[in-house]
Amino acid sequence: MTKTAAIEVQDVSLRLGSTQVLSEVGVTVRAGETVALVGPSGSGKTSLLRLMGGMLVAQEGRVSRLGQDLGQLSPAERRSAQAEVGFIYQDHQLVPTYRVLQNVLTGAIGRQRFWAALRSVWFPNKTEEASAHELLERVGIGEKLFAWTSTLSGGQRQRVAIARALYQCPRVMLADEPVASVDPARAASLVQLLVRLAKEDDLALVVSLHSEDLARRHFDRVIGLKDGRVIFDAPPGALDDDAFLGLYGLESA
Amino acid sequence: MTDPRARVLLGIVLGGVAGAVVLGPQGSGGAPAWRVAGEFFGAALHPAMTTDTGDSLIPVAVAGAWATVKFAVAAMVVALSLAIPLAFLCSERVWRGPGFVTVRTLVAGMRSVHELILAVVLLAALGLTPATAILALAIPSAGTMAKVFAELLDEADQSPSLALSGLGADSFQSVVIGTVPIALPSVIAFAFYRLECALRSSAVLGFFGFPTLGYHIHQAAENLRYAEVWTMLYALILLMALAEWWSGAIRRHLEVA
Repeated sequence: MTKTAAIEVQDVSLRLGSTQVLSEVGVTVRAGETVALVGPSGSGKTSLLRLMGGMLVAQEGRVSRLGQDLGQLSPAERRSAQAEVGFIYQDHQLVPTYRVLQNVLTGAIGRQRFWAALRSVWFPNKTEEASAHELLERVGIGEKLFAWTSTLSGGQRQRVAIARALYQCPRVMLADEPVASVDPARAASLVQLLVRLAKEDDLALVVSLHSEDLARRHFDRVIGLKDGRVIFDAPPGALDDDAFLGLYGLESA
Repeated sequence: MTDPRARVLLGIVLGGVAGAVVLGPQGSGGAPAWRVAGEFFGAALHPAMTTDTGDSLIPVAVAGAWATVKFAVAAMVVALSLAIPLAFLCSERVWRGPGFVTVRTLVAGMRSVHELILAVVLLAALGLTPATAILALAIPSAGTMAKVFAELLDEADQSPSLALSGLGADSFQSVVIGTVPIALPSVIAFAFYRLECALRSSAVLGFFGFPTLGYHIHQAAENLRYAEVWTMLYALILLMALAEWWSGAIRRHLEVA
């Protein structure tokens, strides 16, 4: 591989309160690489994503992103580092009383001063409107540009959240169970969308999923987490069913 | 009369009559109270259109209503410009610490004194100036709005503002851009409700001599010109109905959006 690491997690251990959430985790993700994170509930998927996103800091080990050590940043550096990362949540986390356009434009907030951000959201200019529209076209809901966010379906809102994440021009995209609250057919198309966008924009993409089927079918690599440890980290072709059975604590027959 | 509700009602009416007999029939000026009441309510059917000297009362009523509106709107402008920054300072989402408690105490103090009592105090301090009426209306209103706005901010869904923090927004940015729009429809609805309250209080301030509708009601009542009292009362009712219709229309619009 010639590409440099977009995300590097080295020997990270994390405790939250008295719970050991992650133990000696090491993961590297390169630009343009798509990675699925699977494992049972409580295995540490969300915590690992939040570490990669800079929302948590580990007690031991080192997390670096785009060459920056996330544990060593000043508040200003931290802010600009956050603007490099798009984070997609399980429940979209959009402002329901905004139009779709306004929610997309909030994606740039990490790069803007207060008044610039406020002006952009409330009085978008033609350029901003056009780029928001282009992103909505890319996620398949261009016609919803001026719709009220509260009138959209769950899957459509998740697409708006993806457009918001893209609006900040990220280099890393992290998604925490983005399809947990949509039906299976829509889940597959949302996952395909995320993977396609990551490939088109050369983003490092890490998605945590409950469905091993989606993980094996669409991603370059699958990482299995159990009790805070990496059980496997391999391309889907190299993984057999036993690997997944072991992950969920079931012995193969 | 088998319906128990009818018996209760009859009891209340008989109690009222008995109370009236015990308290005595004397009204003001020695005239029997029932006759004064009769004259007063009789005047409701034919409100005065002109004064004793033959001048039309309509311009007087319109001027009174206009003054009522002016004092109320001016007070709301002052109240909102105080309440909005205070609401952020009273919100747990923006900051915490000793300053937070100080601001909350200040806001509690602002709304603890009723408009009319504040008007009496300010009249003594400032005299009969427009500023007296405006401050008397604005200060308690600002305190109430700051408290309610802050609660609306604190109760609004936090997740969008957390998402914005994740994108690199600072705490003030994420509250203003991620939380304020969620609370905004309720904030506007409450501000309009407070405007209605300010209109009512503005009318009452006329009793202290400010040229609002209350002034004309007070003057006419003092001089026993009941027909004029009714003219001004009808003007006040019309004004309040208009205000409530307008504010209701805006609130309905906000619910739809």
